[in-house]
Amino acid sequence: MDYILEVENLCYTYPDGTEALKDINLKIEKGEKISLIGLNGSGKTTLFLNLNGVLKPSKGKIIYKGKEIKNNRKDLNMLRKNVGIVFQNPDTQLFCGNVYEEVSFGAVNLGLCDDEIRRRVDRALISTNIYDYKDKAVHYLSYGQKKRVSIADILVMEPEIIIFDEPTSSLDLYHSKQVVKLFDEFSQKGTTVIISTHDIEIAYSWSDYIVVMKKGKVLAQGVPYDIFSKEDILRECMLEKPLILEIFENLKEKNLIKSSSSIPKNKKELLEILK
Amino acid sequence: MIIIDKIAYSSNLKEANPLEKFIFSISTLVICLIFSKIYLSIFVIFAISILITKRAKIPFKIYGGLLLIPLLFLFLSIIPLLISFDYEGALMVFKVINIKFGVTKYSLNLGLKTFLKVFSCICCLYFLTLTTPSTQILWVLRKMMIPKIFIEFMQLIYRCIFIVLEVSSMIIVSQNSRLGYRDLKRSFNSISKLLSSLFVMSYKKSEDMFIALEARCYNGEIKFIDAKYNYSIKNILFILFFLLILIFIGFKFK
Ligand SMILES: Nc1ncnc2c1ncn2[C@@H]1O[C@H](COP(=O)(O)OP(=O)(O)O)[C@@H](O)[C@H]1O
Ligand SMILES: [Mg+2]
Repeated sequence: MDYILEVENLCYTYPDGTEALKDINLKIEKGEKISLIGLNGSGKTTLFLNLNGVLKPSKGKIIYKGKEIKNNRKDLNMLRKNVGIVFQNPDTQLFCGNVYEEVSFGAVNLGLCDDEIRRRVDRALISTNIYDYKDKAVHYLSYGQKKRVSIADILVMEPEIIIFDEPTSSLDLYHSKQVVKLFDEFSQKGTTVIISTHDIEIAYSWSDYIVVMKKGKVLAQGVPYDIFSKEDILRECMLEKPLILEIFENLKEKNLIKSSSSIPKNKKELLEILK
Repeated sequence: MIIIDKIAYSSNLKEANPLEKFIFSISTLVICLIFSKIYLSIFVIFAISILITKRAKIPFKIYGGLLLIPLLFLFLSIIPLLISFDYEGALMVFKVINIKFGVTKYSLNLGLKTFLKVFSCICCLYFLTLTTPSTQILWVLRKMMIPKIFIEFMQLIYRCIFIVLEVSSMIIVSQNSRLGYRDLKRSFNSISKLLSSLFVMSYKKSEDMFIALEARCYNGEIKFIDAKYNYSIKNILFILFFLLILIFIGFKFK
């Protein structure tokens, strides 16, 4: 199997001595949809910054497409180009006054020609549905709009992997759903999408693979059903079982549905079984 | 400044090419300054005000309100020009504790001329700021080959002002909700806490922002592509005619 990104024995200690990551091992396949779950402070953001090359691992290595990333400008730029992060708070990411200029920043840094940059910026603005605001100043936009600008920021770089740090936190239900729809669009185009989230319903129904973190360590990883059906993992990570899965298991226990029916991932699939 | 920036976004001319707006207002301003003629200034005041309210569709109430601020200062500073100690042949003579002041024809003329000249320049600058959002002004400065470092600075300052304002207003609300400004002593205390936490916040935010920039391959220079603005032949012709009329008035009239 070819992995697009591998993490081996990754440790990271902040300059003030906080051991934020302890011996992380991950293997990520191309085109996968991955959710990272874990309580606040469990090291999700730190891991992402390491994956993107902004923070340099204290120990261990990051391997992109079979090639180990060395601590030099060329490798780091290559990693940053291919692994894009959409930060949790759009206000720390957006620094330009104007939306169009803001979105073009990443593409210009890649050294593309003007026509290609304009083409990419337009495409990113359209696919995140903010083309109408392109001449606006970012601080006059709503939170949801800023969030979409921060996504367009990364889309212009056309990375192979896009990381979203808590994309649905502080978005309302409608906008959360819109954002998840965007993730699906990206992954259909072959992009690997990694998100961190506290929303176990989204994690369960959306992802192909789940990584559970606690206090800087990976506690468990696997397909959603394997993670959420194991009571001990759930208890240790203080997670709750997704509602769909809970109902399904209850129905199965009471023999109300056939035991051979496939495990539902979302409401639609559950209702299908109940028909 | 922030209110003006918001108004500029609602103006009818915000889509127009910033360079056209910039050249229009700055050259009108320069012509007013060079000629320094009463009729020219009056013409510019009326013409620009009409453009601001009718063409850019800024409500007269807002425009008038904004004009009042500089006009007040202008009035105050014109007074010394009107008065002179030379009261022989003055139109009016005042006497304050044995010292005589006079308003002569010459000083009246000078005062009026200066007043109108400054007034017209204020109108020109308001035309620029009320139709051109700050980001467009930065765009113009970039086109004018001003050293990059200044523009990067202005760029970041412009964005950061809003972040600092937002955070500070949030802190003030939170302090107020816990009676932080109940009396003078507590107010001082709260303000000092506000300032120190703003400082810490700025430091943290700048670090975070730098990380976010690095994550997008930043390497020492903030580069991006400008929005494209189309030139409008109609506007350019209008500007040319307007400037010609101004020069004509400047030469022909007093
Ligand atoms: N800039 C920093 N300096 C020192 N410690 C930090 C810094 N950023 C985060 N940490 C610490 O690292 C740990 C992991 O944080 P983080 O990666 O932000 O977790 P999460 O994103 O999962 O909430 C926390 O204990 C946090 O206090
Ligand atoms: Mg985090």
